[in-house]
Amino acid sequence: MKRLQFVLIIMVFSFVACRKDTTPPLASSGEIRVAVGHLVEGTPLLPDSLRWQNQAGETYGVERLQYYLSNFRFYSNGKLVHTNNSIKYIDAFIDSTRAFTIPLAGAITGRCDSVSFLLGLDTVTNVSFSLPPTLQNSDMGWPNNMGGGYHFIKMEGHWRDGSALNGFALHVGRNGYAIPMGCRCSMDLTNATIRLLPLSMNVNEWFRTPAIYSLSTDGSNSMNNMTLMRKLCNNATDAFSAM
Amino acid sequence: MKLTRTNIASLALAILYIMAVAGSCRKKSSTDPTPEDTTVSLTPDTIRTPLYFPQPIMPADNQPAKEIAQLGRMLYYDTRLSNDGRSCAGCHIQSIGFTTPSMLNGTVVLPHVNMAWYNTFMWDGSKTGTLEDVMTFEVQEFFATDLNRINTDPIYSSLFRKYFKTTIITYKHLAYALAQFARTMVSGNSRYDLSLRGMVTLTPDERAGAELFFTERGDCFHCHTNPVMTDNTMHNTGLDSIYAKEADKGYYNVTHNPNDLGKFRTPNLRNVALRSRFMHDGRFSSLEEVINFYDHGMRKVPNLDPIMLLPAKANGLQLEDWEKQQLIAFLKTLTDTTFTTNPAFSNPN
Repeated sequence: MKRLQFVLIIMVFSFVACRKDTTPPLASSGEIRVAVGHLVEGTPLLPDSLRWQNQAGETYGVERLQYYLSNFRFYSNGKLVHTNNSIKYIDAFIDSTRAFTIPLAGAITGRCDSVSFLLGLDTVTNVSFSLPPTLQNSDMGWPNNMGGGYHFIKMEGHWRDGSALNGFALHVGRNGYAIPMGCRCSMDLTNATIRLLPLSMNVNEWFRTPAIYSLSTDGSNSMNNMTLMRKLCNNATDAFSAM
Repeated sequence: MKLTRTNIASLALAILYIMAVAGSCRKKSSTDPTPEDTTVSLTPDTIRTPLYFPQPIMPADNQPAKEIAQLGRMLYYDTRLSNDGRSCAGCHIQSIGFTTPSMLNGTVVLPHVNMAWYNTFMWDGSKTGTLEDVMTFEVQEFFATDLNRINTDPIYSSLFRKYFKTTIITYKHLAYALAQFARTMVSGNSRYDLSLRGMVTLTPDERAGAELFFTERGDCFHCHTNPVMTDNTMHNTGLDSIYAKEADKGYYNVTHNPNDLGKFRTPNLRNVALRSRFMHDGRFSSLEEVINFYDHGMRKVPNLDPIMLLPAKANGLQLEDWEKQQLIAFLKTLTDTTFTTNPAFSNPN
């Protein structure tokens, strides 16, 4: 009988030892979950849909939109509170690429009120075949014959010039052409476990300010055209917002 | 018997013991190892990844093993895979880069090369996923393999029992073995590859052709991405303005989206100079004809790939004759004779 009691006590302790730990997790185990959306003036971007109008009055549709985000910085009242140097590949039309997490390492306190990041890669990373050897990274390669590294963004589609249908390929790459992005946000990172950061790109911002970009007069093919790539870079700095 | 608490506890323990023993004595399933199997250990293999190639696509449940790839090789050349005397190798001939000059149902046979880096298959992109997925289609639907025939073959029966620990060979087992062999079919020793490794120097014409290929002038690289030479994606390159045949509609036949009319998967250019038919329907019979098409033959359809509608290319590439020859010279550097003569890919019988 005593033996049976002993077995029962061991079983009870086993169950107690396995109960769920309800202690609040440390901040270092938290993460920011980023979800990236693509809009045109508030309307979700649909693939291959010749229905959008840019600031130059041109009707366009986007068939491909692929790019890198990197070098994330999180700020509170202008003070840097968290850094993450990971590189994220986004395809606007492949859902699985539009969500990613940024781990929060170390004790972080305060409310994050802004975030900055690069669209593209910094000069250290923008070296041919330096990114992890995935098919996506391979497809984003910028040929060595044209300077090497990677496409920072490929935005391709069709547009109408009167009745004529044309193509556009707004490709940006090369060192010095990564685009610094920034936007306001609101996340309390104190003892954070999971925080959500919904980012949204307004595609029309690529064509708007500070200088109107016209596919007709500026050009519809930007690859390795430094003037066009610079104009697109200048316009796109405010393309993202945190919804 | 008097039911004391001690007796009840003993009874409970006895029941648990009987259940445990009964569980261990359950009937063996077809995938349980047999005593013979325990003596067989598979030799782990790695897929040869040439310099600058991405990581191959490999599902976790079919990790490479030399023995299984060999089994796949046997199947690849075995006419019993079909019910009419065909084998994979019948249409995928090694000496010409694992394709054939013949047409199959009015369609050019795509070469089996570097498929470890594919996630879409067939001209119309109708198959997606892994090699295991497409090989399942091949045996189950394309060949409609008679499994009874395979299962009653003593050699296959023995090999599958040893390697897959199964007494019943299914379509999945055949597909997994074929996928493993297909994944070994790597071409990465062409003159172009060797030049990337600094082992050979391309001729001036070949280099000039590469310059055309990898810059906006020829702009081949956006679809034939380096070094795999396909982006696994569907494009309309302006072959037709009227889609007379169902096959000409391409990806539309999969999605039924009008924007996908005439779109086809970018073919791999590895060993392209060994082919004698080009495009999905084999309408061109030489590289010269293909380049002339991109030079001035494209049809401006509404869903023509944006890259091909750019101002400098809206009327075709407009290459000089000597540029066309340079481009062809470069394409010929993608021929890999170590691939087309590799005994490891040949008929094992």
